[in-house]
Amino acid sequence: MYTWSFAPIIQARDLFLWGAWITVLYTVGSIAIGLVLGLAVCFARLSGIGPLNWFAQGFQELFRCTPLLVQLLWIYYALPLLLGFDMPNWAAALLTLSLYAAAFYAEVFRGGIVSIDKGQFEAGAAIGMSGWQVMRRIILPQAIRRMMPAFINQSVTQFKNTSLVSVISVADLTYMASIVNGQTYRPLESYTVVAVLYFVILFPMMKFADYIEYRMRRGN
Amino acid sequence: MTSVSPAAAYPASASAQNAADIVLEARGITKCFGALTVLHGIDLALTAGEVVSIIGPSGSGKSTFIRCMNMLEKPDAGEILFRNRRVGEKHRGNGDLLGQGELRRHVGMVFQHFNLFPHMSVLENVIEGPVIVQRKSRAEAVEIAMDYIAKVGLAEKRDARPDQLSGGQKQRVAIARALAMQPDALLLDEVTSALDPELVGEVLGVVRDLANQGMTMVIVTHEISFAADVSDRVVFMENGRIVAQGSPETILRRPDNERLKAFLSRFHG
Repeated sequence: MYTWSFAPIIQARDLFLWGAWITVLYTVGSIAIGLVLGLAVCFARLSGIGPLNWFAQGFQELFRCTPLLVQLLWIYYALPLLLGFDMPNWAAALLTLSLYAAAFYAEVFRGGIVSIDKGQFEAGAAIGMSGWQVMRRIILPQAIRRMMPAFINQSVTQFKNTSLVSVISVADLTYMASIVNGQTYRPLESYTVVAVLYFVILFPMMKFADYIEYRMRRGN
Repeated sequence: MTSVSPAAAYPASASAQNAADIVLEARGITKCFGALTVLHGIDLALTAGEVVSIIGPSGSGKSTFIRCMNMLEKPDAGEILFRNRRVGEKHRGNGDLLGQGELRRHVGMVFQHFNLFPHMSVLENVIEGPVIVQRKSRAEAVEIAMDYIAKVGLAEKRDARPDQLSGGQKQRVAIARALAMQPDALLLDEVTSALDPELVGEVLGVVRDLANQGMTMVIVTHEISFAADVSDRVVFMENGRIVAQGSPETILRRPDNERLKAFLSRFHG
């Protein structure tokens, strides 16, 4: 019978807390950058300008149809060979996570916008609004409500995806678990604690997403 | 019925009309969807205060044509003129060309499916154009908007959301929204076609009041007797062409065109 012992883990609590902080930083950072890039990609796709649309779509498919782990390894180990200079692991991690988030967010935004009835665009245009005024005043307020649940879900996934940066030695929560395991030889406790930490952070976020979705359905 | 309105002559061509009175004019409007040509060079000039009804079978191009008149559909050939200025492809004007935004500020449109903004109250729907497009102060916009909301009989619904309104009420708000821009002309695209029969009357009543007050209008409609009542001129379209036009009396009561007769016979008996 296995004897649980959390004492060594508790001794290493600073490592876990630091790792959790790093995970939050990478999540927030890549969500923020991914949001801006994702909006740009979304509007490029809706621009009606052929080459811009194709480029944006190509970017999306590239990042949506390859595994994030492969993207991370490629950008950290392979891309520098093409660029001719090395990238620190934190930069490669942030860049990859942000591009990955952008590809998925762009699709969330685009889906929200194109789901709005064509008559709404026309009604805005018919009172003399410019395309941008229609977007800002009529379409986005409705689309943002509609895309909210998908956006939160994607962000929750993003939080979990940051665990992959541990493979290029970014000291996030998952990386810290392997460090603690190496020091204490207690994999069961180390990885259980790390799983619980992820859960404790994500469970409220998930419930929040469900609540938003529930409110939205009732609102409509 | 002898009309005394200035449009009594019902000239078939714009050149016979007094050019100074022409508010909105379509010249040679042609529209294709893919290989299908839905409008074959339509001409129509609208003088100030004139009410023109467009009737015709489904698929005759009536709605496409009225949507061309404020450039919601881009004609493949021909041009739209507002007060004798050609309308260009861009939102803003450019040299001699009037911008589409400017055209639409002066020519309102009401749609079959209302297209109210669901995230705004009745009042917010109606002040949106005056505040955002005409840059009026909110106070001034509210004053104008409440005037029109009251005119369509919905003053007590000013804070309601569109989903709390009946179809007829929604369409009356949509009319108030178009009127709040204080347009020179109004385009009505089958504004009663999506309504339950018992709600048609309240919307037609509002349109009739507008006609009586001298609003310049183009009305695409299936309500033949209503068209006969309010119009100075009735235009019969079929297969993307104007087949006949004239006073309601000549078009609807003494039609001399076989296809027009065939179309109208469906509304009798």
